[in-house]
Amino acid sequence: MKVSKIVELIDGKIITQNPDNHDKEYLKAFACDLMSDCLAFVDDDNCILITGLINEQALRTAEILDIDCIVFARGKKLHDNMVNLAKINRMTLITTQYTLFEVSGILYQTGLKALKI
Amino acid sequence: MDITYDFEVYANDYQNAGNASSEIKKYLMQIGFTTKFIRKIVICAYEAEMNIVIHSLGGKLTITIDNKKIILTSTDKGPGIKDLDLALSEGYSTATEAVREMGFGAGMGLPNMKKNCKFFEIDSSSKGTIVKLSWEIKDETFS
Ligand SMILES: Nc1ncnc2c1ncn2[C@@H]1O[C@H](COP(=O)(O)OP(=O)(O)OP(=O)(O)O)[C@@H](O)[C@H]1O
Ligand SMILES: [Mg+2]
Repeated sequence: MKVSKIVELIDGKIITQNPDNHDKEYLKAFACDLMSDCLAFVDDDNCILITGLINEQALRTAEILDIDCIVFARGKKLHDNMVNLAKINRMTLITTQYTLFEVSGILYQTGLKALKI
Repeated sequence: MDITYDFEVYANDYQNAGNASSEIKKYLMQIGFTTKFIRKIVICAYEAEMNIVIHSLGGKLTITIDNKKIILTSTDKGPGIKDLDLALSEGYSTATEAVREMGFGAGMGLPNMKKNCKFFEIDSSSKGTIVKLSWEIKDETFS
């Protein structure tokens, strides 16, 4: 599933886009607000991260796991520092009004798979 | 090759937390290790860095690389871990609600570190906690 499709499905807004992953086909997603859980379970750079956590640590965690697309649920505004970090690390950041549950449900239903843990 | 880098890590400094691990990742990428190998080391570095920020009075991360191994050491100035067995079990955390809201406190940090390294040592007293992790460098750890 491409970034453009994800954005369309969740009525999202692209805050910054990594030009490298314009045509990347994401296959999986992991939704979580606790970063150590992500670090424990995500082992796949074809996975997007869905989170309600609006801070630099979400980006740090993605950076470590080579995740290059993050969806921030619940419509919160991202800080400038997060956007800068995303640009430096070539990541795509998307925000949406939907809750974590809704984003997960929509993307699961339309084909993104869960990680096997 | 025998190189040591030190990174100062400050208590409660959430703004800069993760910088040391990010630097370590860039450095390991320059050397040319595989992404899989680097990921294990950086997961440990980040968990250790966050533990210093969240739970300690401040400390540092040290990475040493020679021809055969990589050693990552986290040292801090206290207050130490009272019950090490408990701290090492999955899901145990003393993190406050405020820390949880920032995305930490799953109680997975130390178990994650243990899982992602080859050798793991931890020692703690009221004067501080030392976590020492190491990995063997082999031909297949280079990409
Ligand atoms: N450097 C440290 N100094 C003092 N206490 C520590 C230190 N590191 C860990 N601890 C204690 O051990 C517990 C478990 O640590 P661990 O990293 O496994 O989980 P956590 O930090 O609470 O949550 P997570 O790492 O999942 O965000 C902590 O809650 C804390 O009580
Ligand atoms: Mg921790």
